[in-house]
Amino acid sequence: MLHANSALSSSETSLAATAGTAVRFDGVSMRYGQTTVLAPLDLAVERGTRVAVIGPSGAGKTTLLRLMAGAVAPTTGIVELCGRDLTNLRPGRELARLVGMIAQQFDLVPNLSVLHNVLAGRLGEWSFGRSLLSLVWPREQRLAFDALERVGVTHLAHQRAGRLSGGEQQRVAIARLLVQRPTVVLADEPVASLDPARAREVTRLLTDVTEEQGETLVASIHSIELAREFFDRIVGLRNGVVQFDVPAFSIGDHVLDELYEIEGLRSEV
Amino acid sequence: MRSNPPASRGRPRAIESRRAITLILIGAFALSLLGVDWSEGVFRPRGLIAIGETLGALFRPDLSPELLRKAAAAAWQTLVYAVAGLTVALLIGVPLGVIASGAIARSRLGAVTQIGAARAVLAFFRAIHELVWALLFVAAIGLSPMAAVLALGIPYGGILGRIYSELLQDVPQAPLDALRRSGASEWRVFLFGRLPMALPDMVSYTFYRLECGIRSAAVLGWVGLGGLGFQVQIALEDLAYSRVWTFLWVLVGMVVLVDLWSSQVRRRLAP
Repeated sequence: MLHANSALSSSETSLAATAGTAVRFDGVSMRYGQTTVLAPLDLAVERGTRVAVIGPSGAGKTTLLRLMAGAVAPTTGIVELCGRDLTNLRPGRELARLVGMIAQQFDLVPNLSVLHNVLAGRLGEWSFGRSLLSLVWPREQRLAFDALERVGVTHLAHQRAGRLSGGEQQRVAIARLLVQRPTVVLADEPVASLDPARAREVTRLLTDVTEEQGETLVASIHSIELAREFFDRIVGLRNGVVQFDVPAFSIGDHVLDELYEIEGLRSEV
Repeated sequence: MRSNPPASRGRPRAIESRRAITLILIGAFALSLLGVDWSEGVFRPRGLIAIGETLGALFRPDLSPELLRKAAAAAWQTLVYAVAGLTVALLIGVPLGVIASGAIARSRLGAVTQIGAARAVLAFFRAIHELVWALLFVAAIGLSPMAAVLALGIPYGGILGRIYSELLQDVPQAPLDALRRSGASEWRVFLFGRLPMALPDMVSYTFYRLECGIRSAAVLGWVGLGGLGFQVQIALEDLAYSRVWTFLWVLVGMVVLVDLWSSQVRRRLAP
């Protein structure tokens, strides 16, 4: 008990000290056995900003996001969200209020209606009875319909999620996050499985929506054009090492060439 | 990326042991052929004639109104046994299947305990065939419909529970992880993820079991519990093959109807 109390008070002080920081990495590294996936890394993401993580496959982007989501614990260092050390947080309501995530696809429950999938964002807040009731007779529909309207798929509310196109499914996933309302939104290659036009629409939607809600967005993304157009800041990652960390407007083509080209040479050796 | 020298060394060994098992099985089959006494002939002297008579009646069932009325009554009784038996099976199989999936356990230890205990109970229920259960219940409570319903329900509950637990375990994990990330506890993940994703297969398997239940309920007639099986037995004793086929065709008809019904329901449930 005593230990838990002291942990709580220390996290409260750090919350006051880092009010403007949504995500903070302090000497964070990740190793699986002998393989270093992420070299020791310090990183701070300001609240309300949009950060794109780019880099070739296997650069450690997904690991970076999974660390931020509290899905894995770092080998060394501390991950903090809004001043809370993630190692002390188990999956549940509290973590869901801090951080939400969108994956590449296959994230929705295909047999349930779009409406149910969106309301699943409320499961952390609902009692068991309310969840059970909602399965038959959805509660808080207003909230879900507002979110669906915001992402432009209100007409699909009663369709089964599995029958939607990839782009529509990602919109529904965004609507679910709108209902969940986490402080930090993470997106792991959210548009990788969409065609270029759809990818642009969904990226724009994701950045707009998080901006409106004052949320922080960290997204790994393949397309440099999208990263430059819709994000505030770009972090370039290669072989688990941050190559650059710059405002999006300042990024030059030569930097990107380097990030990808050297990787290409290496794989030939 | 992944280094797997043990796998590359283990592979030929796996193939070799598979070949060895194949050879042993072929050998066992060959040996079993030696055990048959071919000199006497495979069929009894009258056997071939009996088969001829039986098959001859296949397309000449007795369709007299009196017999059809009897067949309808017997079919109804068999259907009632099957449906009531399956209801008991669901009452056993759903809760035990959910527990045996380990999906609602709060800890790893809890999951292992729950899976182990529920599987043991389910295995006991289905290890004993419905005919044996029927004999036990007839001995205990006499020739009552209750004996038939319990005799069907208990082993079928064991089978349903086992299959349900596997279907609930084998759903795609990505949507479940997404639900957990939105703060849902395992019970809520179960309600909004596992159950909806497993449900179409669970329903379709339950229909298949209803088919089997109709067949089994008919056979229960042999231990004196009435229904189609009892009528078939009487007709066989009279060597009235065309009457036998009347009852068997009714049985086939019932199974076909259940199959049609199940494909209707399956189409509605498909994602």
